[in-house]
Amino acid sequence: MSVNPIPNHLDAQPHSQEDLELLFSIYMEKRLQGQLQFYESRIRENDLNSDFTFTLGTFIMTLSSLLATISASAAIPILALISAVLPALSSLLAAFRQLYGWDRQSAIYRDAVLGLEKIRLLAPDDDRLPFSDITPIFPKVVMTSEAVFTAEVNQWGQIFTASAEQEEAQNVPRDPLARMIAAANLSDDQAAAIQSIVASGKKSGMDVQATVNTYSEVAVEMQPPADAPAAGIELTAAAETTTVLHEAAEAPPAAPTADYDMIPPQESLPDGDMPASPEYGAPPAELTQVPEMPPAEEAEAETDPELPQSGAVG
Amino acid sequence: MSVKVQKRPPQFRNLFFIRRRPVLRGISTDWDRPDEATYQQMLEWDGFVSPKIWEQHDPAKHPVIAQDLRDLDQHLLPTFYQFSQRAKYYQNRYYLYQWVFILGAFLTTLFGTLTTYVYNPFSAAAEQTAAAVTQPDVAATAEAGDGEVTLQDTPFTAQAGGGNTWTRVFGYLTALVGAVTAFFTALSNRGEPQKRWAKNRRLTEELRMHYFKYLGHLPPYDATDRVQKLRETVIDARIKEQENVS
Repeated sequence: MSVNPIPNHLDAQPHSQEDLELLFSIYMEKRLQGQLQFYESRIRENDLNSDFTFTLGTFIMTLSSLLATISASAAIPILALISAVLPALSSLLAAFRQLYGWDRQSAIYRDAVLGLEKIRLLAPDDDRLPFSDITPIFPKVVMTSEAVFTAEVNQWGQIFTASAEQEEAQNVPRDPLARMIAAANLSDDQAAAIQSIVASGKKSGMDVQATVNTYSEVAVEMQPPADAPAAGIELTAAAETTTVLHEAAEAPPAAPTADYDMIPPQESLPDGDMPASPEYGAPPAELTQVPEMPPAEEAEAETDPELPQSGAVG
Repeated sequence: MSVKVQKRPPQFRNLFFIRRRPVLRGISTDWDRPDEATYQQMLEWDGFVSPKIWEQHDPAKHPVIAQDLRDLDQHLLPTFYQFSQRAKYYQNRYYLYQWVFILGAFLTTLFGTLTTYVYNPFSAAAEQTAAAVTQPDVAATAEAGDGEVTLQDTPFTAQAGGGNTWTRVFGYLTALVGAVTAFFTALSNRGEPQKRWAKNRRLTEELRMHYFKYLGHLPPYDATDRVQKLRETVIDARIKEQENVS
């Protein structure tokens, strides 16, 4: 089907309710689900390689010791040669482990997955989606998700730059989402806004009402963070995340921040159904009134569950 | 009724030396837009919205989204793929150099060990004796310092080479590996592939984020001049990409 020419006055036209429902489904499938599949795919791959190199390296060292012992007692020169070469092979595997940093990458991806799982709580369950008003939910899902992605991207560079001791010294919070937020170099208010949004998705109706009293409007925008100089790598193109609280009474203490830089290549493809949240915790419409999101002209009881076709996972 | 179980790809294909090994050539620094079918497939692969969406939805019902998609296709996606291509290029270069270093170190150790292993001091001593016995005149000339004496003529040669062809072979291989490693070390110092890989990948992901924000009319794309904001964002990204590039 061909796309009709669109006049320029569309720049001033807000999204309709149908638009928002379509955008919501697009975002949930192509961005959230696709990224989750990417993370999970990479975690599997990294774990496989980490296990493989560790197991093989250990086996090689054990074999080297065994052959050295036999060689010493049986005076077989070839065994002495092999026992001398095998440690070099083990070192080779260790060098690749160091180069790719599978374990650390997996840890970062796991944090991102858990962060996204929490954010998915903001979206209604699949069965309740047709009866939900997407208007207040969509911008919050997008902005908090992008904050997690940005944090993941920023954390990735630590593989190359930060030592384990530095990481311990940073006193990174235990909660995965808090770690993601901490990695994004957010201000106190910004971190508070994201945490309040996520928290609102898990609260009961009474708690949500209390949240409404505290935060009447939440919007998020991206801003450049402080530069993140790191040993060996300097990146000026900082990924940015900033949350703007239009009306925030009290902000929780900010999580510690960290300097990060590099990013892994994107390889995964979106594929699959929209995620189903185990809990339905959609915040009320009053919680967020984003200026560019118009009130629903027609509150349809059904959303269009059809999503654009996705490619195969590579 | 039989249930078909979807086969998972063999796990060994995910091993790093199969899936993540660098290539010597074939990755370009520049991105050229492919044919439309391939391009649409790329959009799907990268998690973007391709025109295929209008096979399931009526574009007349979503004129704003259709317009936004065209804006993004015109202004953002070419730069996104340009950065992504460069990120792949520099990533490959970085890993290629690292692989050369690692394998070079391993092979140097291996050949050094083999050189030591095949070196036979008893054989060398025998050759030394044989050389002294069969060529007394040459040895005498060398001692007297009269006439041209080549290394092949002296007993020292037999001892230094271990009197063994394999010793020399492995010695040469060790030197060759060392030379290749040194060559790639010199290359790796130019261009800072790791830094540029990181920068390009980071900017790529940043543009991906802007793609969805623009589509959702979220800040800073929540005003009527959002196309202009998008163009500024892309230009800013291009400027960032050029910063601190040596």
